[in-house]
Amino acid sequence: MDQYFKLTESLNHRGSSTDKPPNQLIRQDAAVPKIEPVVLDTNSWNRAIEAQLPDLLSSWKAESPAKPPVVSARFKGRRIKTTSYYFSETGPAKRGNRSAIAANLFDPYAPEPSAEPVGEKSKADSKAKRVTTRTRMKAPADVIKLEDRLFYLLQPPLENLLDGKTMEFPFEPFPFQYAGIAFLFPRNSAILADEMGLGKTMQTIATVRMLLRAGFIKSVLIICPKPLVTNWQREFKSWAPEITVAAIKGNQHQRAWHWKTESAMVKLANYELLTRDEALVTAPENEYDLVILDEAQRIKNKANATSEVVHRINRKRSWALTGTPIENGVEDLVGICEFAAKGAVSSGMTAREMRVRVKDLILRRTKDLVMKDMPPRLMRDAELDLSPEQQISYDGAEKDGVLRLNDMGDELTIKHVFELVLRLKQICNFDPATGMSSKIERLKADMEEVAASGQKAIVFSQWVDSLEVIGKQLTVHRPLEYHGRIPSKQRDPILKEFKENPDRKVLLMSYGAGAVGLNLQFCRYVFLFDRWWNPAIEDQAINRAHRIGAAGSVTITRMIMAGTIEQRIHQILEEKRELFREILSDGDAPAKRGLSRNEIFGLFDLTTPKGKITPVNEVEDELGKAA
Amino acid sequence: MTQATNHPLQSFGFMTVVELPSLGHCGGLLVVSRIGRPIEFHCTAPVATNRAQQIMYGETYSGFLFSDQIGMALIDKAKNRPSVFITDCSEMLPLTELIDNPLVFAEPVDSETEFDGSGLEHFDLSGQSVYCVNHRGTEAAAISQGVHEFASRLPLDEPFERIRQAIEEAHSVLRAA
Repeated sequence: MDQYFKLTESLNHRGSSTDKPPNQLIRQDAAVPKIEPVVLDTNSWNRAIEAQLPDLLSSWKAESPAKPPVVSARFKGRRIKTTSYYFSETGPAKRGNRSAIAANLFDPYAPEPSAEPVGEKSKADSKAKRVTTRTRMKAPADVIKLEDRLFYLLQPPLENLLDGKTMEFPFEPFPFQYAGIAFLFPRNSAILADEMGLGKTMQTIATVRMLLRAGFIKSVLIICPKPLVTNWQREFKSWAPEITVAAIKGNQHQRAWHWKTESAMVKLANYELLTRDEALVTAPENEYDLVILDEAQRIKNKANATSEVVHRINRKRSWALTGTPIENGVEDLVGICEFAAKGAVSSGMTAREMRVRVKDLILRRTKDLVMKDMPPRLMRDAELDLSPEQQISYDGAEKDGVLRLNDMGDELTIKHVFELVLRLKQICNFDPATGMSSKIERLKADMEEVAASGQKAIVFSQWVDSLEVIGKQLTVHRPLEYHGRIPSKQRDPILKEFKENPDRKVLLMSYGAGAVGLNLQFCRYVFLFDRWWNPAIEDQAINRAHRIGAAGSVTITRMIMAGTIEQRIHQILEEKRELFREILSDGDAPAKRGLSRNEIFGLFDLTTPKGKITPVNEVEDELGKAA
Repeated sequence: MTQATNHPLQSFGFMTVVELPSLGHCGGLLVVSRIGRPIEFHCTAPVATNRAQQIMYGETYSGFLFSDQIGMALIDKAKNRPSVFITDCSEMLPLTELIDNPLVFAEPVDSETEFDGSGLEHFDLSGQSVYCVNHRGTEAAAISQGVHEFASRLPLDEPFERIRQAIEEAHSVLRAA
């Protein structure tokens, strides 16, 4: 109840049962006829103002011998309730959980330090400057305590916190990257699902650096595909040079030492060794303040061995990074959430339910949305005719293959169909008998143009054998190869050579080895010599070149042989690409992104048999292995 | 202005009042260090407009409500008394009679009413007019220097933005509770 007015207690009370009436009127002159006291709350005081007081005053007559009545109100402001919050340097961080480099990120009285050391990159943009955008950290929905929520909200904008005096970066993050940092920082569970090329690695490292500096965490485990381990090391050197990083590698004894005694703040491990080191990585004494999964789609199948190990790692915070949270269906997202926020979503939820549940958990931005000034991505489909030699081989293989499939009757499975698909796709690349290829002729012509304009190109294929044949045809451009048969140690030098040697005009990559995590934005041309099964993988390949820092427009040429299985698959891939957008946006019933059984059999106009059908995902894995 | 001193202000108390629809006026005080980091935050419960007070105080009502009641309630809670108080709310200026600290008025850039600051020392800060309402023993030059140094890191309207968001957050949490 409002009690703005505290009046004195000189009048008798009326109708109050309280010892200390909140409001009272004072009558100063006791000689005047007695006036009934008024005990007021705000409403009654208002009523008194409007009704009683005028009556009271009008009852006095000027000719009266007595002095006029005086009604006084002494206004003493009521005590207004306040809520207070006093900041400590550590905020929600627990004392005793401070990393070796924990300093004064949130210390209000921190002296203005000299710039922190950074790598050899340009420091041009790192000077403190007037804040032009204001990116605020905001507590996620699962932070309940008001003081914790206010801790984040009352911090200065990230642009100020990271103004180059507290922490120096090699270059100024984009506004959407600040927003990504603001998203990750307060979250125990997070999925950063930005489109490829928007800097998920950089945003993650900057946030890890802040958390370590704030003393919120002190141990981090990052799990990534093996080829990306060196990439993470390189990026840490650029974006967080003071943070110690150790890659877990070597033989069993060396790895055991790393897991048990390595004191680096950040440990880097690849997915492949998780299952081998299961006992070590999940040991109770190995608890991490933060576990980050890069390319988290690797655990979309929650039943596979890697997923099971990952789920059992002792951790306080779980972040998943992926450009393709949904590759084939909403089940992919369920698998990732099983790690990042167990129980947040489950199989069988509708798309609407799932969207609501993950709203506070996932941050996804696309280049279209955040990089208005990003150079354009020019897609061109090169529809080619098979060479006469290829045409003969193709027709024969298809005819024989279809006949064989039909003869299999009930024993026919999707796997058999895929074997034929792969066979035909290989013929679309090169005629097995003569080596003739319309694609290679077109590629050679295009490469002449690319080289003449001083540019470089990446050529992707599903098959290493195809890449090797392509390499022999493009010797004039001094091609480099980057695929699964190249030992890991040799891969970084190959990329360096490609980047720095102007004579190296073309890099031949397999989808498997080169699809993720690599920064090749100096390339203006990408050729998809054959098509991958999944459009998300193709997008990842394309985004090696079309990413932040791209020098100009990136031209992507997709080679498709007209009237063949490639053209039929191309059609389906385009439909899947549309479905991806549907699932992550407002559609009510997202369709499956994998090919349906009927679609697969429809490739060859076969009738669906009653036999066992292999699930699409497994078939896709088979295709990956075949590559 | 006289020459700047070598004693920059160490902390700043940003103070404003927000009107919450159907609830009333809510005051917020954010004490920040000279690098803009928060030290303390206080906000009041919403104070509903009172008809009786309006009648009694007439034109001085908002000054009484914003300064005597809300402003002083906030300041009384501050453990760290800031070197200078800064407000973007002209109705809080009567505080100058109640406190011993310097008080600065940062006129909002989008203010619809023109503030009559005649007789007050003032300076321009990136298009924003800033008035030293009182000095309380601190040289105006020192205040100007301190405010300028602060504004070189953060725009002067930024802490007020924090206060408004925090008040909104506090009340949304309390409403949900």
